[in-house]
Amino acid sequence: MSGTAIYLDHAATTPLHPQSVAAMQRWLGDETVGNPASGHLPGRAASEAVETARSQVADLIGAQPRDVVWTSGATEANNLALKGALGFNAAEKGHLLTPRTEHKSVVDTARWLERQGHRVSWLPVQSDGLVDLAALGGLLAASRQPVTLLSVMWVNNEIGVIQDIAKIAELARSHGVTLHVDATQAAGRVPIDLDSVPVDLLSLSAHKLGGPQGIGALFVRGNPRARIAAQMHGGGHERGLRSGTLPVHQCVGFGAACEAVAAERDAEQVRQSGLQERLWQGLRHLPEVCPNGHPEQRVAGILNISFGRIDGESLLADVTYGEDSLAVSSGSACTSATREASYVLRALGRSDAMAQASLRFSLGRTTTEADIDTAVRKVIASVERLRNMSPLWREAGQAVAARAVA
Amino acid sequence: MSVAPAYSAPVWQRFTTPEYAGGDEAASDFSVNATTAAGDACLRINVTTKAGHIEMARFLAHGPPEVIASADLLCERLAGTAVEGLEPALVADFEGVLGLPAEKRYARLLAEDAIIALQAAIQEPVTGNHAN
Repeated sequence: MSGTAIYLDHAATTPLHPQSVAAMQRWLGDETVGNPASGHLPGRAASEAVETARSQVADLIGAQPRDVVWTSGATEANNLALKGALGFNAAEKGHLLTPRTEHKSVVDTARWLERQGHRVSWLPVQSDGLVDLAALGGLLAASRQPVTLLSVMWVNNEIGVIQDIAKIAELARSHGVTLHVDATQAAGRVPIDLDSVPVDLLSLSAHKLGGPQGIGALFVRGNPRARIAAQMHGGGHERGLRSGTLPVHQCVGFGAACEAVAAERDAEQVRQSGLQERLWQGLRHLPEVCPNGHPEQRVAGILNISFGRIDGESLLADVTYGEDSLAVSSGSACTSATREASYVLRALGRSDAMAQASLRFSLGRTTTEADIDTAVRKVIASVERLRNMSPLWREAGQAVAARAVA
Repeated sequence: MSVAPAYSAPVWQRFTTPEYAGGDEAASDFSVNATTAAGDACLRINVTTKAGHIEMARFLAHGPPEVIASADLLCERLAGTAVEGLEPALVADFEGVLGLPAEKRYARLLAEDAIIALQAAIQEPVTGNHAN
């Protein structure tokens, strides 16, 4: 099998933007050695490059550069936000409120915090994947233990729905609750202006928007100051919030990618919206297909579809190998012993079977109409092949035929 | 760059190009089903018999690639087998032959359950098409 495929997994990672590549190349040669923490000339040059990149990241989210803290990625940023906020006041345990549909790096961190004695409350979502704002307001007002931190993902990584962060931030601020937002999938896809939206902490990842893997950032609002405890110690880098030598080439690659996607975002969203519609129109005629998530309040470029009466693992295996193979992902953990269905789709109320038999198509800068057309052909062929040898599908057909006769 | 699929070669070959998929219950002498306890995988075996032997076996299956591969291998083994000689031991080596990982052993058990169901169907006094 070839390692090439029609790549429709941009929400997992997306190709480096050429501007990011060019920016990093300047920092990968012999001439550009320098620790940004060093005071000598090479060190100061590295520091200047890092600070330029910090400004570029800040510009993408409408923030002050001094409020951007470099991390190794969004997972670390989420860990720093959650553990840092709940651990800031060592004298008492905190209370985290978060939806069930968050990324694993929030869900697993929340469970870890629970084991440390903190309280975690799970916020239910509606069947379209959106947070019920009235329910959220009620929970913030009525909770016996005041909420220390509310953590909500801006754009869901599995289904692409956009939470109304402006209203959520308003609610959090009115109840004096610190708000963390995982904006990993939002940055570069939706406008983010932290100058006007009172988010306290916000996580970013470079490789989801055309930057390199291995770097991300946490926005930590300076005014009013969001209070978090450092989780990484040694050297006091990043205002003491995240120690460790900064990877200059990754910082500049991240910064350049932010600048590039900011310039291209609106046109790209229009283009990807057209491609996504082409994909959906190609697949919607298959029987028993069901798109997941709110139909309008969503980003262009992430489409999650459940397929009835088909095994999700076999479907994923069939489309990801062979001629015209697709690089797509499934919400289900098919390789696990339990073949667990996607917890995000289960939280939306999907049955185990429909949650397990889902594919996430995520589009990006390099996706073409030809890619979409190939994907449509491949998925239709796989679904039909598997259903043709499925007893469940045959029974469904017989039931339909029997009803027609009756 | 060459990337191997996440399945053993025998599983992958039988999943992508199963030789025994299909079958028509109405045209079969016996049709039996087997389902996992969780109900997330199942298979149906349709067989025709002639002169005390299984003439042809075909399958329908719903489940991961290992279940489809196991059903395909089962049908291959069933063809030509004496009806009297049907035993669950027919699939005893499936884990090794197919290279099933521990968490997919149920693919062999499904095949075993199908044989047991087939034995029962054949031993029933009423002849003709059976579906359990």
